[in-house]
Amino acid sequence: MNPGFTTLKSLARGLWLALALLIVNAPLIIVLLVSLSSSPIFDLPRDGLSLRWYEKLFQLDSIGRPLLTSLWLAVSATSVSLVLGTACALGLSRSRFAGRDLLVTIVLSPMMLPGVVIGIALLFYLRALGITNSFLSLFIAHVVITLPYIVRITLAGLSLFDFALVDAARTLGYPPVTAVIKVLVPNMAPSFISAAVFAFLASFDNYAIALFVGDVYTVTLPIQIINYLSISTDPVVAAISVTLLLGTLVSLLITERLVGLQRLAGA
Amino acid sequence: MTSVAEPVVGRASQPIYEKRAGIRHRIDPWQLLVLPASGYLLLAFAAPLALMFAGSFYAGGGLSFENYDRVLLDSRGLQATANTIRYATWVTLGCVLLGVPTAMAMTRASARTQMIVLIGMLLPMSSSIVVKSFGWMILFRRTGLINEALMSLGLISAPVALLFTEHGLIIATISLKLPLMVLPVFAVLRQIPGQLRDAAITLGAGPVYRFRRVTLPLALPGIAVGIAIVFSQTAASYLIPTLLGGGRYPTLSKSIVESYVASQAALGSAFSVVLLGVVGVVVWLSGRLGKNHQATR
Repeated sequence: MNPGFTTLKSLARGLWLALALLIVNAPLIIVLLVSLSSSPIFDLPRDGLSLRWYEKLFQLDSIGRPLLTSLWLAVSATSVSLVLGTACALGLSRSRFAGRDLLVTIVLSPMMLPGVVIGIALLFYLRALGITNSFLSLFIAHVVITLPYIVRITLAGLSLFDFALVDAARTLGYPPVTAVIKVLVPNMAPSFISAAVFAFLASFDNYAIALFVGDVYTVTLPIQIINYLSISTDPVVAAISVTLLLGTLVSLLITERLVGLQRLAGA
Repeated sequence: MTSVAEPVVGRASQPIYEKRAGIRHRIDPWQLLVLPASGYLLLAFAAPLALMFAGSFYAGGGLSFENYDRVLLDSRGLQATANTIRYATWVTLGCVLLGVPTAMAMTRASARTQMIVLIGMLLPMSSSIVVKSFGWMILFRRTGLINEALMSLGLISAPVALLFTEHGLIIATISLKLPLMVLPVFAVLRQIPGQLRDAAITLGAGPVYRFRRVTLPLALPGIAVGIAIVFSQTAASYLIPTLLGGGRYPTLSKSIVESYVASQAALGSAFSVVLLGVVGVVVWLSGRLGKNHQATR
């Protein structure tokens, strides 16, 4: 093929990829710019950068409690999901039984189902059962929505794990549980980490369930940001957003160091 | 009845005792590990959905279809259903048209470029939807960046309305959901061996024929996954149409929340069942799209 034509083609390809990245990242870039502006309304930084909205962020006492609620909720839901989900993935990958495919579909389905539907369904149900504690209700729902991430990623990891290694460890004298802990757990650590990161992010970002199941005392961070957006045009919301974004970036970079992103995208 | 003498064709790996009637299945201890999660989902996921389904038929102290009448016959309910289907369809179409070429360009790029694009897709995908919708709200304002850029380029003379319009909502949502299409298509495309392309070129296939007969059929399972995820997430989204679509654009998800706020729980349940139906049909169809091509390949 003509070399000039090939260069042109790879240039066009590069431009297309740059355009796709711009389209996808445009809202994040704009939020970053607004957070650095000194203007009291949402505006681009026209006369120099300023960190005044970040300073204001630390004086804001209405953000601390929702942040703690969201963090505590995400950590507890992810931990419980990790135990339930890993056991489930192990069972699914080690045995064949009638209804196995159906079970996989059911376990993964909360990921496809509308969050508002899960929210409203749980609201009725928990009310009927007499459970009125808002945090407990959120916790029950968040385990449901984080479980598919754990099962899917762990299942994909297990399909690459050679179970003969566990048998070898048992032949060498380890009792069954010790063999699993000493051989399987270190091998599967990357899958556990990426599963936990994605489950954590799914819980931390979820607003749909808290719309129904939350109350005035148990406000999660996404709900608090939505409340802010509807009452004021204060760019401090942009500063909160950028801080959250940095948190996401750090967790993605840690995962990339430990696991590799190629594997995440393929899982 | 399977007789013992009959050869078990193609099932050689399966233990014979599973095939014979009369002998009880041995319970595999590994199998028991699925029980805690299954039990949890039965109690905290399946039971609530079943209760909601039953509740959607409850009106005026008895069983009736009244709630469904209000969803599918009432003009606002019908509009919400039509809006949801149209909105999610356009977004899905946009994501296929932009996402498939992007995934194809990624597979042909260097390893370093692939890594950069991958991070650039994963970061917005994993960041808060509230943050991203907020970004589009700022971009779309009358004095926002898009209007300013178009006006300074001389493409328009007065600001165009983007916020609280359907086309603005669709554009923004395509940007928000695009990674969900690119990543599964890329995951499938990068497994296609490069020799396949070389072979097609050697046999004289032009770019269009190659795309139609080689790349597209192989990419279809990935595209089908992308369609299912993009459509279901778009149809389900409450926040994006609320922040960017405005109050005069009813959707099913908004109607669910509104019914609940107005203490009309049974009506909200009926809206939920209709939304589940719409999403279910599209997910099922896309599953067939992915499978059919695997079978005829």
